[in-house]
Amino acid sequence: MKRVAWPIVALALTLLFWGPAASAFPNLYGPKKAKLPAPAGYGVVIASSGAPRNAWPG
Amino acid sequence: MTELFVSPLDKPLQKNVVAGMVLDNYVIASDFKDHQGTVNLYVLPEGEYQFYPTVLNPYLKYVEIRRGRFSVKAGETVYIGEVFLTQGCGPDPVVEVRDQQERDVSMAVAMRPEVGAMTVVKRLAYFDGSYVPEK
Repeated sequence: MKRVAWPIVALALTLLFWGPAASAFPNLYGPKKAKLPAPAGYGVVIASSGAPRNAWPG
Repeated sequence: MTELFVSPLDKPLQKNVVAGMVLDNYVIASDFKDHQGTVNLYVLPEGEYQFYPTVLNPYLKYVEIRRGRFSVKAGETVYIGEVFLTQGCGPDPVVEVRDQQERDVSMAVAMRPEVGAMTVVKRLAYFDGSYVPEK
């Protein structure tokens, strides 16, 4: 493994086993963040996205 | 962790991302109690759009992935469905589009009351082929 990769691995393990609690960050594309009303030439798209609580190992 | 990136159809996928959708990124607050997921609302220019899954792992590269599509019309509010990852975090993600309009729109209205005054048209996203990511 390249030397530059080790900090990323360490960060990933830290987040996995110790890091911030799950669901710590807001959804940047949630309805509360949208700039309404839509300007001319724009449309509004509503969608949802997700996965089971455990989508691993795929 | 896998997310969907959205970009205009007529531009290269990975260099023109205009929006994202959280799939199994568990550090994002979930809007649902029974699964990980979010309700999303985008304001986009009229046009055709494509989306594709991307795994947040710099050492994993997809060989070939399915491309999803949807369209946006000016002045219209469109519901494109629930994009759900049934299998992920690997080289072969499986993504489905499901119709959950009643649930999703009511949640969007609860979060943003202005949406309640909009006439929502249903035009579900779909998959139209596969895509070989740039190296």
